Amino acid sequence: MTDHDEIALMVAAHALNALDRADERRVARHLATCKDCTRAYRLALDAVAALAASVDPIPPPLGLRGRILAALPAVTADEVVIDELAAQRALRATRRWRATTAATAVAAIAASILLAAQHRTIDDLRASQAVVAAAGPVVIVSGSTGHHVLLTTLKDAPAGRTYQVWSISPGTARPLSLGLVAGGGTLRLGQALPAGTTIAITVEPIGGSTAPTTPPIASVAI
Amino acid sequence: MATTVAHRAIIYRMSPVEESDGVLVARCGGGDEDALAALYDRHGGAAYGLALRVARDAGLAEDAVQEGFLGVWRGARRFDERRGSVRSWILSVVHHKAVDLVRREVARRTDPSESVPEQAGATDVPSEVLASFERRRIDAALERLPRAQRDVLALAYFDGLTQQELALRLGEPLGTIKSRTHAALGRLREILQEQR
Repeated sequence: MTDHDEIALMVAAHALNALDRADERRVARHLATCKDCTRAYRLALDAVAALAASVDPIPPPLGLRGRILAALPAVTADEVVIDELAAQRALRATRRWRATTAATAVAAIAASILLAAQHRTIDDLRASQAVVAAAGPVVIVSGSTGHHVLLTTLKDAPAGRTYQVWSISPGTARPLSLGLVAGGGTLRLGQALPAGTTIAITVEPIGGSTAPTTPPIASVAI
Repeated sequence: MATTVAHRAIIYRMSPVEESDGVLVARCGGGDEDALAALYDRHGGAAYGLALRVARDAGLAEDAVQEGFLGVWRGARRFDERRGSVRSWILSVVHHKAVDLVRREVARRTDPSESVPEQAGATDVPSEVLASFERRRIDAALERLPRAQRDVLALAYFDGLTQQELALRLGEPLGTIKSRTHAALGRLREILQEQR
């Protein structure tokens, strides 16, 4: 039996995580160079995925979720703090939107929106918004001007519907409409939002509602 | 310092209600912890069920799920959705961790069969109705495998036995075990395809 044939016979066991460390390394090295075995390995993984899917889910212990999140290496939190000036410089320097990470892309686009907000010329930012599609809707607050800007990266609202943005402030009886926004749009939220304000987006009939008529699809406390 | 603060902007990420698994993994790659939490909420039950099936010990299963999700966090940027679903990937990472932990534990114990509790009762998560149909389909496919093939798959995948350990357990030559494992997984795949 050739080395290739011997390893080809172990590909299934590799997909099952059923090899000892030495064989596992040997097969992995082989897969890096053999297209046939890599194809066989992918097919084997499909069958193994079926085995995994045959197991009934069981609710995990309550504290596990918190322990996992607490153990994550602190890369980025909910609040991404960026240096506006540096981001604006970077933006001017690169303009090509070749941001390598979502965080970089968000920072670059935030800078462009802040520039636009400050100069009252929010216009054609849609193309660049595709870059941050993975980041979800964000509210950007400028430290230098206090401008709050909502940047949405949602699909278009269903026919006959629109997205409406609300602020819910402590001590306020009901949500206050901040305006309507397109799926891939921006909305200036003003400069004086009280601390503890929650910004929420709902789907409403065209023209908007006087009060939310559907549960929020996204929200964040500022 | 006021001058520093004045030139900083804060981006608040809004938490969306429904995003695809692929988008969540991409967000993990950008360091978004909410995205990992969302993946955990979707797949944590399946991951824990699988880990418990392999480890047969609640503590080990929990460790496997924790290490697995940390592995998902670290590996998110390298994940390629064209190679399989996010769920399969997460379960594969958790399974690998569970098998590792069990092997370490077995090596540590003098008698590996000692104090291994019965497998916990499985409960369906109500939102996983579709997944339960899938489970029935796969159970049916496994039933169609010859007994010897079904056994090697179960011992390898759910009991975490290496090929050498399988050969010892079943009293058969290593080469036979390798061939049978290879054939069993191939046959399972064929049956699943026939069912589609």
